[in-house]
Amino acid sequence: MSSTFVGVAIANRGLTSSQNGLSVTTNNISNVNTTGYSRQTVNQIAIGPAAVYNNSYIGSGSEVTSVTRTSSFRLNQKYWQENSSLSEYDEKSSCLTEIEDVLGTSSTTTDFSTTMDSFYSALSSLSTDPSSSSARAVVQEDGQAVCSYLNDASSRLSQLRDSVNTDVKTNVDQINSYASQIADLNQQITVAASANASTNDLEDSRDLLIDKLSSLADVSVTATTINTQADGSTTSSYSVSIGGATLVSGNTARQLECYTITGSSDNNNGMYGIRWTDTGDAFDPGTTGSLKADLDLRDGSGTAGESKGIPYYTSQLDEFAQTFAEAFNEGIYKDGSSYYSGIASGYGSDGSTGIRFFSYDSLSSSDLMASGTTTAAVYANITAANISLSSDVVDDTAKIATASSANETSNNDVVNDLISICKDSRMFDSGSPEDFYNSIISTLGAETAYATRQDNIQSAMVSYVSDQRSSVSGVSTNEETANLTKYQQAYAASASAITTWKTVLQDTINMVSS
Amino acid sequence: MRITNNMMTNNTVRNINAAANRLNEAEERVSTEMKISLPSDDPVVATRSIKYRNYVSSIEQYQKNVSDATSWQNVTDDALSSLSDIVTQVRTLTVKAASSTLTSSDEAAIKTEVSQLQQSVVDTMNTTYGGRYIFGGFSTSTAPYALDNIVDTVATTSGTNSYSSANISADSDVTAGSYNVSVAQSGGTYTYTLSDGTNNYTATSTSNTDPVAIKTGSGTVTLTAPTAGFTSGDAFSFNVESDTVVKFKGECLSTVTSAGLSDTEVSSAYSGNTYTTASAQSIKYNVGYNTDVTVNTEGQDVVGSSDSNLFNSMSKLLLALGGDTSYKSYDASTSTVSTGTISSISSVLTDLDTDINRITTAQAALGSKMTYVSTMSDRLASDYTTYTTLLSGNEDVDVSKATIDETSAQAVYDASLSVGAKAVSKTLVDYLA
Repeated sequence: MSSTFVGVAIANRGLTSSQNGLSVTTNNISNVNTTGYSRQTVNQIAIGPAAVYNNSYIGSGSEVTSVTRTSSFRLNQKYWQENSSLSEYDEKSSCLTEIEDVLGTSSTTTDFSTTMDSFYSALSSLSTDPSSSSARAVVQEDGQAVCSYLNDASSRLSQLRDSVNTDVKTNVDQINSYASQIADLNQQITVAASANASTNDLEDSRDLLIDKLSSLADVSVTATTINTQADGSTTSSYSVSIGGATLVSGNTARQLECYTITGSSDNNNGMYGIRWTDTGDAFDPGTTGSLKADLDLRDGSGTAGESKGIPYYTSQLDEFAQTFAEAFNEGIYKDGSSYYSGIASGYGSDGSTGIRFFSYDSLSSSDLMASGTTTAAVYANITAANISLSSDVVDDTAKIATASSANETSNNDVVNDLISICKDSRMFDSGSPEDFYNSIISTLGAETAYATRQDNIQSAMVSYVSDQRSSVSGVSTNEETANLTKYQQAYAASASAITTWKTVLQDTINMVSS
Repeated sequence: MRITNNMMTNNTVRNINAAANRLNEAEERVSTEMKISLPSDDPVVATRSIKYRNYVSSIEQYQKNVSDATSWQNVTDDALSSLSDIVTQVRTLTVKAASSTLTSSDEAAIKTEVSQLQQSVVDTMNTTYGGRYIFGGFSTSTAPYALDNIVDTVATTSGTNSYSSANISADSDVTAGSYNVSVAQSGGTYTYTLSDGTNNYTATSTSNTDPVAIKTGSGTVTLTAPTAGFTSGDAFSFNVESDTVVKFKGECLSTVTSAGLSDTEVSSAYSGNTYTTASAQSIKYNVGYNTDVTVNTEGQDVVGSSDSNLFNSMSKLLLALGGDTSYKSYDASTSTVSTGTISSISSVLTDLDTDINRITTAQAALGSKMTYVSTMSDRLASDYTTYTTLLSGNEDVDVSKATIDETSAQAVYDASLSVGAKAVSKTLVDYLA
C-alpha cells in the first residue's frame, strides 16, 4: 500500500514542474527580441511507482529532467553558407557602385564622354581657325580637362583600393577575434556539459559568433558530440574551417596575420597579404564572404580568370591614356599601325615642330621623348594617374601644331588629321576612343548589375533561411502566452490537489481523534 | 510551420522596404526624368546614351563649322561679285577708250580711273573674314596682294669719276623722271645735291666713301661711292624708270611692265618666284565624320597666276592708255624677258574676256561648294533631330507613365504600411483577460 502523504508529494511535484514551465516560458518571453536566442522548452517526464512497493500501481507525479534549446544545426549550416555568399555580393555591389560613381554616370553632365566631346569640339573649332589664339586656349583647356579627368578617376580608384585594403585588415582582425571567442565557448561548453549544467545560452552565443564569422568568410562547421543527455539531446563542440584550413578546433583557435606585400610582380606592393601565424602558409579565403569580395575587388585584374576588380578598371584607364596619347602625339595606334600624322609632325603657329601635346608629370616634349629608348617605351610611362599636357603646350598655346608646314597660318591639315584620329575606330582593339570608353562603362555596368542582382537573390535566400530558422528556434509570444496559461492552470490545479489532500488528511485525523 | 514574432516583424519590414525601394525608384525617375541613374541600372541604355550623346555633341560642332563655312563662303561670294563688277567696268572703259573719237585728255582720265580700279581689285582681293584674308590660301594673317613699283635707274656722267647705274639705287617710292646730282666739298664736309629740275634735295657727310642717302619728296635715293670716293665737282644725271606691279605674297605677280625698264631689272624682279610652283592650299572644315569641305577660294583661281592674270591685262591697258605700243614681259618657264607689242587698245579686250571668264568660273565653283555646304547643313539638322529623338527615347522617361508608376508605387507603399501596422501589433496577450 502506498504512503499516507503520497498525494501531497505528487501535487508538490506538479507545482514544481508547473513553476519550472512558467519560468522557462517567462524566460522565452523576455528573450523574444534577443539576437541569436533559441527558444527553450521544458522536458518533463512522469515518475513511475516506487519499485519497492511491489503492490503499488500509481505513479509518483512529474519531474523536469532538462530544459533544452530548440535549434537546427542543418538550418544553421544553410544560413552560414547563404550568408557568406550574401555578404560577398553585398560588398561587391556597393564597391562597384562606387566605381561607377568614379567613372561617371550617364545622367550627370561631367562624365568622361562629355569631357572628350568638349575636347573634340575644341579641336574642330581650332580647325576652322588655326590662327585664333582663343581657339588654341580652348583646346589647351579642354585637353587639360581630359588629363584631369583621368588623373582624378585614377586617384579616386587608388583611394578606393586603399580603403578596400584597410577593410581586408579589419576583416582579418575580426576573424581572429571571432575564432578565439568560439574556441573559448567550445571550452566552456565542454566543461559545462560534463557537469551536466545547462549549455543553452553558451551555444546560442557560439552560433551567433559563427553567424558573424560566416559573413566574413566561407566557413564550414563540423559538430562533434561531446555529451548526450538522458533524453537523447546532445551537446557538441564545433570545428570551424575556412577554405579547407582549420581555424578553430575544440578549444584551440589558429590566428591569421596581415603582412605588407613587397617585391610582387602584379602591382600588389604595399597591400596586405594574409597568412597563418603558426605555419606561415598563405591564407585562402574560400569562395565567398566579404573578405573574398574585398580581395577580388582589390586584386582582380580581369586577366587569367581573375575577376574584374579595381586594378582592372585602373589598367583600362591606363590603356586609354597611353593609347590615346600615343595616337594623338605620334599618330600610332594600339596595334602599331598609323593612318594619320600625329601632332608631333605638325607646325605650331610660331613655326615650332616636334611638339607633343600629351605628356606625363608635365614633362616637356623633349624630356618626354628622352624618357624611353623607343616610342613604345616612352608611352609605356604614361598612365591615367600621371598623364598631363606637355609643358611646352601649357606655356605657349602657339606651340599646338595645326599646320603641315611652317608659317602657314590657316593650314589646318594636321588638326584635321587629329580630328580624324579622335574618332578613328582603328585606334583601339575595340574601336574608337569613344567605343573603348563605352566598353569600360558597359563592362562595369554589367558587372555591377550582376553583383546587385546576385545581392538581391542572395538577400531573398538569406531571408528565407532566416525565416526557417526563426520558425524552428524563434520565440512566438502567442505560443508562450498559451504555455503561460497552460502552466498557470496546471499550477492552480496542483494547488487545489493539495487542498483536496489536506481535507482528506484532516478527515483522517478527525476520524482518529473523534 | 511555426510563425514567430521575429518572422512576422522581419517579413513586414522587408515588405515595407521593398515597397519603399520601388517608390524611391519611381520618384527618382519622375524627378530626374531619366530611365537610369547609374550604368548598372541598364548597361545597354547607358552605353547607347553615351553614343547618342556623343553623336549629338559632334553634330552640334559640325553645325557650328557649317555655319562658319557658310559665312566664309558668303564673304567670298560678295567679294567675287564686286570683283566681277570692277572688271566689267574696266572692260566698258576699254571699249570706250578704243573708240577713235577720244581726245588725249579723255584717255588720261580713263587711265586714272583704270589705275584706281586696279587699286580696287587689289583691295577686293584682300577681303577679310574675321580678320583672315580669304584669298591668301593658308597665309591668312597678311594681305596677299599689294601694289608696288619696279624702279630702274639709268645714269649719264660728267666730272672726275664715272658713275653707273650700279652707284645709284632708288627705292620704289621715287617718282619716275630725270635727276641731277652734284658733289661739293667744303673743308671735311661733302654736300650732295639732288635736283629733279624743280626742287633741290641735299645731304651732307664727312666721309666721301660711305654711301649717302638723299631723301626726295617721294622716296629715297642712295648713292654709293665710286672706287676713288666722291670727289668735289662730280656731277651726273640719271633717269628713274618706274612701273606699277602687283605682288602676291611678296612676289611679283603681274609680269607685264613698261618697255622703259631694263631687262636686268625686270628679270631680277621675277626670278626666284616660288608661288607659281606651290601646291593647292585648301582650308578644310570638318562638317561630318571624315567629311571635309574646302571653304576657301584661292586668289590664283580668281585673278589668275603668273602666266596669265587680270593684273597683266590691266597693266597692258594702262600702258596702252599712256600711249605705249610695246611692253616687256617675263616668261617664268624660260626665265627670259621678252618685248611684246600692243597693237591697239581694243586688243586688250581679249585678255579681259579671259579674266572675266576666270572670275565667272570661280563663282560657279564657289556656288557648287555653297550648295554642298547647304546640303550638309540640312542633313546635319535632320541628323540632329534624329539623334536627339533617339537619345530622348533611349534615356528619358515617359512622364505620364512615370507619374502613374509613382502613384501606384505610393499606393502599394501605403498599403504595406497599413497592413504591416496591423499584423505586428496584435498578439494573444491582447485577448487574455
